[in-house]
Amino acid sequence: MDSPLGIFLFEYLVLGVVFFVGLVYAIRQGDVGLRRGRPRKNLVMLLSGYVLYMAVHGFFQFIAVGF
Amino acid sequence: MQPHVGTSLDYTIIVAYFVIVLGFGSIFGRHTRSTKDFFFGGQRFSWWIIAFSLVATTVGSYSFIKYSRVAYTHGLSSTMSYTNDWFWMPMLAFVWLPIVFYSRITSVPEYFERRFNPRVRLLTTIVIMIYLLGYIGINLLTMGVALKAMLGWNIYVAAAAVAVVCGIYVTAGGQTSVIMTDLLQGLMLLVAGFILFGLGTRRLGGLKRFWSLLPRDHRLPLNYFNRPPEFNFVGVLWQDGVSQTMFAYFINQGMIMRFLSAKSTREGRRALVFLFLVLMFLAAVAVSNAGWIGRAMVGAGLLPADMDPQMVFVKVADAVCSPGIFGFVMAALTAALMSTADTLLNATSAIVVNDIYRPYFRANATDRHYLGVARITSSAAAVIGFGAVFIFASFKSIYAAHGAFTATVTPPMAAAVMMGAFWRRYNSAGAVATIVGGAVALAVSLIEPEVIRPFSFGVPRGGEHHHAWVYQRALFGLVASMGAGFVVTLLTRAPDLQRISGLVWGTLDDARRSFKGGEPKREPGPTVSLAVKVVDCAPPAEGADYGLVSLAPGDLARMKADVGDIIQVSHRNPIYGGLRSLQARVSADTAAEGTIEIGRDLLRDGGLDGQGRIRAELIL
Repeated sequence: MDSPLGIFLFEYLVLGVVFFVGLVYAIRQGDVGLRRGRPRKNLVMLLSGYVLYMAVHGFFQFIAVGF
Repeated sequence: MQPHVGTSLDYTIIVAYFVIVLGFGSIFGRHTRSTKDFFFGGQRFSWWIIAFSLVATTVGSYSFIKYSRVAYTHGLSSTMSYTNDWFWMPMLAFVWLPIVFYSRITSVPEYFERRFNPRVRLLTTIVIMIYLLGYIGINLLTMGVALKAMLGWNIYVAAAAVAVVCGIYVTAGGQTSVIMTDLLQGLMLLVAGFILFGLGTRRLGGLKRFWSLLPRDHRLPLNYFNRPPEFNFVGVLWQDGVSQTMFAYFINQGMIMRFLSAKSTREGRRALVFLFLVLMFLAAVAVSNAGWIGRAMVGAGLLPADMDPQMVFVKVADAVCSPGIFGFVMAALTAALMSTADTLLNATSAIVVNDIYRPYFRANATDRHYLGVARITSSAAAVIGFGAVFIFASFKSIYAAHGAFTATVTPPMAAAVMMGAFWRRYNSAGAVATIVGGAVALAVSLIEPEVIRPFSFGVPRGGEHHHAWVYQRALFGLVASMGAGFVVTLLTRAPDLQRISGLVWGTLDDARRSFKGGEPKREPGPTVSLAVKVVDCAPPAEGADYGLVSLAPGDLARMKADVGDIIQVSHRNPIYGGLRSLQARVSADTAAEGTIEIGRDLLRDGGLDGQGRIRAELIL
């Protein structure tokens, strides 16, 4: 678990649960979803943020460390 | 090394900064005419003002010292505390923010009363007041200690200066002054942090050399899984990424008041997106980089290897800053404190007026009366906070007791709010069990830390009593609180869904309808530019939610608005960010095309002069 990959996966597992449970609530609320317009924009925005965090953490955890 | 006492230029810059903030805050006090203005800035601000003021509030005076120390000792993983917030975005932006905004909640205790009952409100009011007043004192003390270390100032003089400056502009202008000064201070602390980073890397010979001088494990943004006990990945994840973030964004009165200052939930969401995706990353670098630079300077032989990590911020600032720049960095450190302290003063005032004075002492006074009480309370909070500095500095046991108190009450409070907002079955008995049961479990953990071991993830114990598993205690507290609330709720009667409508997930459409007094509009329309026609009409009666305006049918169609909708009318120049604006209800569609008819008093309350054109947009 002490490996950079293990820690990275743990982070995105635990906080991923928080994020995706919240996403389910938001989708069932109707403000986020696949429907065209505002719900789809909100869904794209939320998932993009998640990917951005993964990319930034991943870049420093796996790539920049070797520079 | 002796403390850097600065040059006369540095002192001039720091004093000038105090004067500028005082003037800045007082100028914006002119816009405060009601408790809605004083506590919520009139509910009209744009996302970028809210976002910058939020980052200033989040970064406290201790942040530069604390995170520089952690960065020096553990490297890039010092950013872990600042880079976990996005994961809460769906719950925060799409459930909690609309609940707070549309149900017109003024504080967490008020939420607890409406969601549960008055006893839960009283319990949480007491807890939050102890927390807030103690926290003001701790912030002032931290500032005094920092300025003593860096400039050789007397702790009490430094704390008094900050308390007086903050006290004056918060008392004068309330939330509007807080937001506008925090905008300035947020920008300033980010700029100062990056100036320090730029000067540091230049001193080291560039970014590439700086990076090469960092030990390999210092380049990792996520630290070792469960070692060392005082700073490890899994502990920080549960403490900062989960428990603290829940507390900061779902319970912190200052944050709630800032959300309520946004002109709409959409604008609040935009602020959160910019805060979490841009500003928090910048803030993480701004508060930590002195530690990274310090470590690299040790590697390059520019600083001694046996340097006290607690002093790394001072030593790096001293080593890389020329006179004048040093003063600017110290002013930024002060900015970090003032922007946290002002929010706490305003939040304390809101709790006293809305949760103590109004319900228990004088229920039906005029808004003008409550505004006067709010101003007195702000001043009193500054005085009491300053008094707490003496107590905390003289009696270490009281300082430790407040720390233990905070650690004991924050996880149960966070658990109660989350369960209240997301679980419709959750009831008042469950809420009491969550808060009391969780606090008791955490108190037990301070006496017998072994109860935390099952939640330790292999982290070594680290010490006795409250020094043991300092980070893992948050997870233990959350599990104990939620467990108690869950069991008691299932064993008792479910609440009446009708009564809690609008206060819990799944009922937000009701909250929107109640907020608007009609069917809400989900899709925003475009902003239109209109000429103002000032009309003489009676000002909105006290207690009325909005003033009334009239537009032409064609303009309403362009805005996708109808009669009965709530719109925002803003100054034609968007740079004001809502400072000069008002929200009103469309009462008629009888105005001439391209014109909006507004009453003189309403215009004046919004800080608009009625000259030239204005911008109008649909809110709900």
